[in-house]
Amino acid sequence: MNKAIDVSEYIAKKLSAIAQDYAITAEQKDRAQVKFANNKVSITQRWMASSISVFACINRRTVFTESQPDRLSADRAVARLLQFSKAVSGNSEFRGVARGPFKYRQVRNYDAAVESIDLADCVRESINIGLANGAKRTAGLAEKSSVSLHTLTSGGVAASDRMSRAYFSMRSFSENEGSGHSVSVSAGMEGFNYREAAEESALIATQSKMPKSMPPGTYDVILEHLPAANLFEAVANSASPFYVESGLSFFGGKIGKRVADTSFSMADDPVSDFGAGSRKFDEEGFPAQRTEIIRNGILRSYLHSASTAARYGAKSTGNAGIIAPRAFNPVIEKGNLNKDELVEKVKRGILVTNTWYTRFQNYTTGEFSTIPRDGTFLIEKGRVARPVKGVRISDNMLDMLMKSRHLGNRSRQVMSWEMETPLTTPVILVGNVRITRSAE
Amino acid sequence: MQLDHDLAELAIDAALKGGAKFADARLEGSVSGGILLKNGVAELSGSEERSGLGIRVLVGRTLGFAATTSLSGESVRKSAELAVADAKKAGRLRNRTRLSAHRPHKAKYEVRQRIRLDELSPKEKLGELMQIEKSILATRIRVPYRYFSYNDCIEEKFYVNSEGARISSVIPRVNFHYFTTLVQGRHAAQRYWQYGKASGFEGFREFRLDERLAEEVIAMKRNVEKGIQPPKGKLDVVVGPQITGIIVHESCGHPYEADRILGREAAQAGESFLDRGSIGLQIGSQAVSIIDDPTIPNSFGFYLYDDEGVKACSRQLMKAGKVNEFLHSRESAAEMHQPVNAAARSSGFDREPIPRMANTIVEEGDYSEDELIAGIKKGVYIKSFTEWNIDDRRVHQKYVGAEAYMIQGGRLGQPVKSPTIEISTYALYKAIDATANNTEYHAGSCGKGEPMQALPVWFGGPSMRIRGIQLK
Repeated sequence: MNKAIDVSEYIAKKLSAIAQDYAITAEQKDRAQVKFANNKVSITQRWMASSISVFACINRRTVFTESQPDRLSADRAVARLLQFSKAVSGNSEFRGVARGPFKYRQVRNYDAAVESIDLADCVRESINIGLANGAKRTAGLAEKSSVSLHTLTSGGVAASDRMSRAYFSMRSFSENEGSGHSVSVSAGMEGFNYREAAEESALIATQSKMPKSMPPGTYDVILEHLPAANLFEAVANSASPFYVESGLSFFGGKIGKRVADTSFSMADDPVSDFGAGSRKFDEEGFPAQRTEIIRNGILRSYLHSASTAARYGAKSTGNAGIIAPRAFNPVIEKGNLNKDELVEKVKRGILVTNTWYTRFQNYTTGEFSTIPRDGTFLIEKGRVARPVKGVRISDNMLDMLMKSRHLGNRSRQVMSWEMETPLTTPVILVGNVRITRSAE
Repeated sequence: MQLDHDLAELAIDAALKGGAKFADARLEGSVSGGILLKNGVAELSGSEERSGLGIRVLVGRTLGFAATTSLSGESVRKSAELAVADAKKAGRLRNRTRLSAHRPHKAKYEVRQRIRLDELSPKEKLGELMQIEKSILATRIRVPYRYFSYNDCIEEKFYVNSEGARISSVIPRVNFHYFTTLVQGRHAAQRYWQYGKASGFEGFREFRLDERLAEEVIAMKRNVEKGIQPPKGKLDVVVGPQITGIIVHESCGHPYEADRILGREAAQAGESFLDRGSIGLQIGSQAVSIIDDPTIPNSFGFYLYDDEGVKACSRQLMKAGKVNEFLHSRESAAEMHQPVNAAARSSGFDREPIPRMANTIVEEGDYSEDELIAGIKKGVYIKSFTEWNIDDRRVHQKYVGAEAYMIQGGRLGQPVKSPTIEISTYALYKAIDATANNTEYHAGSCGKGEPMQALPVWFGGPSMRIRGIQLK
């Protein structure tokens, strides 16, 4: 990492002569994974990657490149920046990187114990837990990673951060089409419970045997942690002004307006302890902070970099991506009902334990569909009645937010195959959701 | 970019010395560039060089993999040793991986660029994007959100394995995707699509994006203003090549990937409705035959040797409605005792190769698209789509039409708003009674694996007629 920092400083020196703004981040990432299927290891994988990413604004042209941690590569990277800055037109929307230096609060986002996890043992134990709880087949992965990064900017930032992450995902299969999926993710050993996830995936698999078809229609839907996170990641993404301006958000023009039920609140909280996306600062070195996106149903704020904040007459929320701000560690606030109480509130509904393949018809208006996968259960008169299959949620994300009336009292941090950002969420009850199914 | 091939050889030697009985390595370097144009503003432009080495080992019956971006002898040796050590440790779970036997090849190939991507100035590339912007604005239709992303990449690769294979390749690719959002009063419509080829910049020009996107915006306006609700009840539908492409990608290509059938992707991209005994099973009508062919010149999914050094060939996935062939890596071929067919691909040196599609295409029939439409008294023609998805066993799929028209008495009529096909794979493929002769190739970035591997693919074919299905 020291070499990468030296080269970053070398690049910064060169850029200070030609660029009005720059942000340089050197990153060293070590990651290891054991992937398994059919109760056997499919492959062990390990990655050792170092890179230096460079953003610069040269004569109002906003350009990027990447360099390896050596001076020859750095020289080529700076030459490429210059080449592009002479070739493309100016970015009238860019207002500069954050001006520091800044003070940073300590964030518990690194735990050395993560690096000591024996992934092969973790997998062996998890498979055994799954089999002991009724699974016939298991598949998934155990993974650990650590990232060291150092950011230098023209705004006077010279700051370092170190993060770790432990991640476990397991899908269990029982006979007669039963399957269940559960995950565990955390920046530290605290909150990382792969045994619980393994057991849960197997229990869902055994409970969801012999699912039957059900008629389409309107149902209340209880989203367990995994599908709630999968679906509402789009809510966090929609809070980026870059997404708003690209037509990829359903929050355009809605600041200060009601976008969700009054019981629904969501924040980005990258300074929470052991958040899998927690960090000290954003990509331009601005201090990370908790930002309320939705409070009691009202859209309170977009997530800003210094540049987008300047254009919107707001303050940076510490969410750069310099050009495209983003959520780092979004959190949906929990409610006060336990899962049984949520189920009791449902006369006719379904309990969804996982979902996948969410696609939007139109991001600006929010029409989408997603496919529940693994254990899905019909709820009748406040009780879980039987497993069902072959359903699709075909609704509108803004409507889903308005219909998210009851939230569970236990939150979990979730990451999954289709999610780019880990999200912490309770179980969520959404009323009157449109359920469709395929013609056979 | 100069790649030091000795590093790949060194990795193999270190792996074998460490106890691997098989090893292969991919040494890769790429130069890529991109321009992001948002509502006419060049938001971010640049280019980068990436290089690194991935080493895969078979130790006993366990696979190990390690990748590094540090191309020093010491780092490469360490990577190989770690891959072996990790696999040895995981071997305690009595794994059963084998690789099918395969004759090693030595080859070198390069895709020719008429207009070299690394010699054309970024200014000229931006100029072409601005031309698309201008053509949309010239329609005078309100399209407040216009998001264009252009990328190109020249990827150089050296593959080596402990059995003697040595393959060098250079493949350039151009890639463009966009979102356009039309707002008409209280109504909004959105389009997304992607274009891609393995070629120099001439491939980008062949897309004729300024014309296509302007035509599309005009059609969107027509649909928003004059579109009617799709008719109820069972009727006949003609889908254009774009929808043919997404259908076969999702419900033929993916479920024919042998690692899904074997459960190796169960916790990620899912499994398949097929099993290892499904060869010969009648899925569709006699009118449907589907190939997957990586060797189509300049295709987005082009390669001549896969990422295990196996010589590429066309795969006949479905023949006259019957399951004919799966997509195999050496691992899945060994497990199923079937011939390997060069489907192992990875998205870069830092990912393991797994069975993937390349270019999945429905074979043409003898009809023109007009003849397919002429054979329908009342139906719907769907040219393009927006939202789509499919379950993870590839049975229950949904496609929401974007540009669509009524068919009345064998001719196209009024626009139709969001006609939705939501149907099982079995019902869909049996209802296809004819295919046209107007093949188009469409580009996509196909996702699979963990970590995610997005890969360039083509999918397509001709228009297809689907009899007696319900639209929503």
